[in-house]
Amino acid sequence: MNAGQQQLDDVPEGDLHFRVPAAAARLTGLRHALSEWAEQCGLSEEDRDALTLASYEAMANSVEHAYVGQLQGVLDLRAVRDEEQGRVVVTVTDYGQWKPPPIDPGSRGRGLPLIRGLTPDANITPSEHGTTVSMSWPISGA
Amino acid sequence: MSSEAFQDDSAGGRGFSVEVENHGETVVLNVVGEVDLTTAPVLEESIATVLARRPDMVVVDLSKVGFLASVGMSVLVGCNEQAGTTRFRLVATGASTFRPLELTGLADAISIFPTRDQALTED
Repeated sequence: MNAGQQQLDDVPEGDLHFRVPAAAARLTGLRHALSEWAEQCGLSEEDRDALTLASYEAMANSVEHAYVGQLQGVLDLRAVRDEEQGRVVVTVTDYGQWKPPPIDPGSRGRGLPLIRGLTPDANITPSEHGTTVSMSWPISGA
Repeated sequence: MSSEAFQDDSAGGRGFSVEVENHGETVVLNVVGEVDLTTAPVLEESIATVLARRPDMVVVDLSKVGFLASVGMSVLVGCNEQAGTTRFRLVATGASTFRPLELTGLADAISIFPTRDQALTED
């Protein structure tokens, strides 16, 4: 895999799971891997673009906000094909601090609204141990 | 017409470039590649450099941009706000650039045209 990330062991065939340092330079390769995966899953081009951008925004949030003032942490990217429900599910998890969106986000803070606009189903779960963003898209023709 | 180029040769931003074309009082920035956390600073620097010369109009052409993250949209909003008397326009169409601009409401805040010709010629 490019950009130096490694697919973890024990991942079911057809699914993706990457654990990488939460660093901006890592996200480009992950985004490309995810886009290829979405194409193999048979997503429409529009959904593929939406999945890639929404997932990128979730990872960018982790990179920019989760580990502020701490040693750099990691993020997990999981992409799973759920045949039963005819959808793909992408989950981004970090292990840092949840930063609530400011009341006036100014010129920043477009990531979360964008995620919500790009997927019919976004769940953001902050906890004291980190934040999980889960998103899904229908598999075309499923 | 003269031109110059801004490029990001770092690992993450490989292949990203902004070519600046001067057409008299109008400046066109031809952006090629993917706008994300690693390349957005290059986009910001290139637009800011051009705006500092106070041309009549700046057209940022995103036709050859295959990916536009929110960090890039923030750069575009900031530049639009700083443009002052310079007319600031974007060329964007399709799922990779126009749709995210529309979803975040920026299509209402910035003048966006589907083609470069329209951006250059419409009032």
